[in-house]
Amino acid sequence: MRRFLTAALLVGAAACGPLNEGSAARGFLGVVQARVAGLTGQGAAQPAAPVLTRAQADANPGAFLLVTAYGGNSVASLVVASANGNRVTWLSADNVAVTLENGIIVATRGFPRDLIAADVSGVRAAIAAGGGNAQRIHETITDLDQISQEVLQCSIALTGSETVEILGKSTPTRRFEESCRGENTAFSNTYWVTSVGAIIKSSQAVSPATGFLVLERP
Amino acid sequence: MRSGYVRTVGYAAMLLALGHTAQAQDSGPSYTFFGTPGLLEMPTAESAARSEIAATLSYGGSSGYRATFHYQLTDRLSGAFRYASFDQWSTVDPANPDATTTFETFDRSFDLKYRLTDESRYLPAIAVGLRDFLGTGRFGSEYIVASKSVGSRLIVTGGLGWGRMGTYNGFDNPLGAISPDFETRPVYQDREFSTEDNIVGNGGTVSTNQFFRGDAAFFGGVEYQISPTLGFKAEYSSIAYDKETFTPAVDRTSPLNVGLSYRPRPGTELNLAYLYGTDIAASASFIINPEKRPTFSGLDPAPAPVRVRTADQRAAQTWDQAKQPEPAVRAGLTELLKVEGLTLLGLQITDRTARLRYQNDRFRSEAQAMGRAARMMTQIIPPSVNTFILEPSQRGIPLSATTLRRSDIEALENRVGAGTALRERANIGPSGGDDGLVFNPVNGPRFQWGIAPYMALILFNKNEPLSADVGLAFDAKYQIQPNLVVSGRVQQSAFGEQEPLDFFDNPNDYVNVRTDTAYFGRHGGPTLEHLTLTHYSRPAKNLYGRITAGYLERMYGGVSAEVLWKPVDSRLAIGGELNYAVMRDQDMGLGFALYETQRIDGTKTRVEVGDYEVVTGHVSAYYDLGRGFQAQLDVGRYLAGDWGATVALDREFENGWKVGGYFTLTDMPFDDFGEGSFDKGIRVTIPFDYFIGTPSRKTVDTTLQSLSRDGGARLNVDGRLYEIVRDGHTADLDDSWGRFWR
Repeated sequence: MRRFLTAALLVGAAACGPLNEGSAARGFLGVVQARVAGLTGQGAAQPAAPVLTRAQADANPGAFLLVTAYGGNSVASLVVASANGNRVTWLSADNVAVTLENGIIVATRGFPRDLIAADVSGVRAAIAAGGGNAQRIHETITDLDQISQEVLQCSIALTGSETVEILGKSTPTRRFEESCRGENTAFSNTYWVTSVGAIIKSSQAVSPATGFLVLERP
Repeated sequence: MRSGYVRTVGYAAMLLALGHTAQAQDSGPSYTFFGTPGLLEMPTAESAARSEIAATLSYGGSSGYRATFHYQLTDRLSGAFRYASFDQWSTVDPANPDATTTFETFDRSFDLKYRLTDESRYLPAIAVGLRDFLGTGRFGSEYIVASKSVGSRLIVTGGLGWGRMGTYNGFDNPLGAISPDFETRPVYQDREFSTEDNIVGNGGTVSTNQFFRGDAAFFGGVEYQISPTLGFKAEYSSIAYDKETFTPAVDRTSPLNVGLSYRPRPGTELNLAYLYGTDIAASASFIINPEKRPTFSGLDPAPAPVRVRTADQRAAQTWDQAKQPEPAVRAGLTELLKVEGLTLLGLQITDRTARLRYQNDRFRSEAQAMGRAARMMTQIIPPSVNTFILEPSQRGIPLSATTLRRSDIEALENRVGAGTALRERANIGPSGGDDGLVFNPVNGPRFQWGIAPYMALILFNKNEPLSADVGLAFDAKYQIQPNLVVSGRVQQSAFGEQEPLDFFDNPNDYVNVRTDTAYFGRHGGPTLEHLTLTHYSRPAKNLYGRITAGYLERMYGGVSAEVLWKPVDSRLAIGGELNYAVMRDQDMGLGFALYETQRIDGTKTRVEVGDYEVVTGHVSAYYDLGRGFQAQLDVGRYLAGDWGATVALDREFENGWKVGGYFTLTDMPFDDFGEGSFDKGIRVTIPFDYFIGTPSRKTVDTTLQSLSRDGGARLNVDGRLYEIVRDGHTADLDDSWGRFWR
């Protein structure tokens, strides 16, 4: 038995060479390193160095989308990768993507349980109308690689006025709450909408495993 | 990392934030010291969650070691395979039972359990089961058991056992009312340790004539959940552990067993118990469910989005070759595909159609690789082209051709129902020929190498329940053509020279075609694990071929040739394999030799006695039964020259997990085969990406054999055709089509 334990420890040693890309030893080590990093706070949020400055944002108006994920533990600055009709896909330097339709998330890529696709057209209309009811359809991939579809009933309501500050710049907004309920999930999204009807900031649910993304347009 | 997403941190908090989806997960029934759902040694009527796999290691001072693999095959049916080492009684002399001695034995056993009814408000769940029904029957029992929960924390269980479970306070079999035959249990005839010649029975055969016969006895118990992680179990056991010939020598004074079960986190259960009134025992269960991926749908980096053509571009009917010359498009697409871990092998562009042949070295799912390739094509393929034909290829053989409309890819991206809609509009058929394709020169690295530690687990060698050989492995691969590859592996053990493995006795006259593995590569020097030249081909539309020559595996060198007939959309495949194999020298160098163990001057010595060469071969049928079940039948000649057939059934999950079992019956008599009577086992394939979350084509393959012996043994040739070819065929593409847009 002792020999088995010795062996198990030895195998923890690193593997190298092109044939060992993504090998068990590496994968396992990666998991351990990630855990250690998580426990010590390394690799978690490092607020000292912002991912985007006000000067950078002002130099390229509208070019950036700030995404905060995992309860604030991670912030990334995304840029436009492509547009398909009214759907714009934003991409980060390390290949995390968020696709928005008029500011509302319709797809994500690179999160633990991605939103593969969504139909949110009614939600945007309800916000524009100052409130109302809408239906959402969300598609995710199951643990068995099948597409799972959930229909959610949502009600959207204006809940007040707020001044939103993004990278030091303040903007007056109207705040909307969207409460949704489906067979398996329930969540509340928040949208901060400018006087011209643009969603400048939002907190939107992706999936139970991924949680909420906070989106900001600096 | 600054702008990166820390993916392991904080998602639990998110889970809570999403309202009622974050209900406390039911951790499922706890596991016994026999590694099956239940109390301590007695079963309950509970079933594990469907597809749950549990590996349990248990140890008790007088009950010994037990290692159990338990699998919940369906909601109701479960099976277990157990490997145990414990002391058992030798032949009991009725005149002087106190003189009976004990000796250590290694025992394999199989269990089955079926839950007949579900628990309802007033009625308990009821299950019927067989314990150790296929081995030598050291624990051979049958039972019917009922369990009912009382409140949310208490489960009460009562049952009736036969066989070993009918030995304490047993009474006349109530089934005797049906037929008097049930009243007596025929004695199991055990040859393994017996000196008498006329006794037959070597384990491995189903002792159906014993089932539910002889005395029956009551057993029962309770399980109380003290907290979400801690449970208390108490049982009244109906196993008496009487002193009988070849029964487990357990020191027992009480029918009451008590214990605690602790689940520090999901997937791990620790048990500590006071058993038999004499013994402290401990166990650890590791539980995993292929249907619950710890990495959810995976953390694959985002794909490049679709590049949508403008209306003007769409209107183009011809490819402007001056603006987009073929070599530039091919070179550009080659680079783009490289980003996704795909290799462009060949490309054909006409005004309206582009055909891409590529090799996927990154994604487990060929559908996902195809989705990525198609999106990359939208980036650079001339706008007049509206038909994409994607031909995934592995080891130089094109596997299939999927035809997609570019306008569909543009219209459906990120749309609800896009997966189904695109699949309905796609056409999957046989791959086209090479004509028309412009092939890239071999543009990946021709030579690849790797150095990595290896670990080989060894069960029950020299009275150690679990030991391992560990060392460094050097791999090298040289690609002459995509379909012609030299590959080899040399290993060096860290332990230096080692004693031969010690768990076989060989009573038969057959050459020790597999049992000699005990002597292979134990001398401490480097070992050549394999060194082969392999050629793949596709001689006809639905026909595939392989020839492998060289040092095929640890014990044999030679030549292996295979053909496979497998239409792209067919559930059935037929294959044939013919091998000429020569046994290698046990030092695992370049030589070939057959050794025998001879006793010279009182010591066992390995003596070279010549060569062993054999022609083996099989005709195989593979059939996709649907609902995730895959069957295989091989008929032919095995390594010892024995003729027979292997039957295998696997449960295959869409995410790459496979759990299956097989057995082989040949004309080698059970008595010559030795313990176990015939070869059988359980095999598990675990895809890497299930654990690591990022794409990988690698898998971990494990076979739990009841015992590797000389009957029904096959050559271990790498790269058999079926698994390679089917990956790109309709059924497998459909299984993970959900990943096309991932």
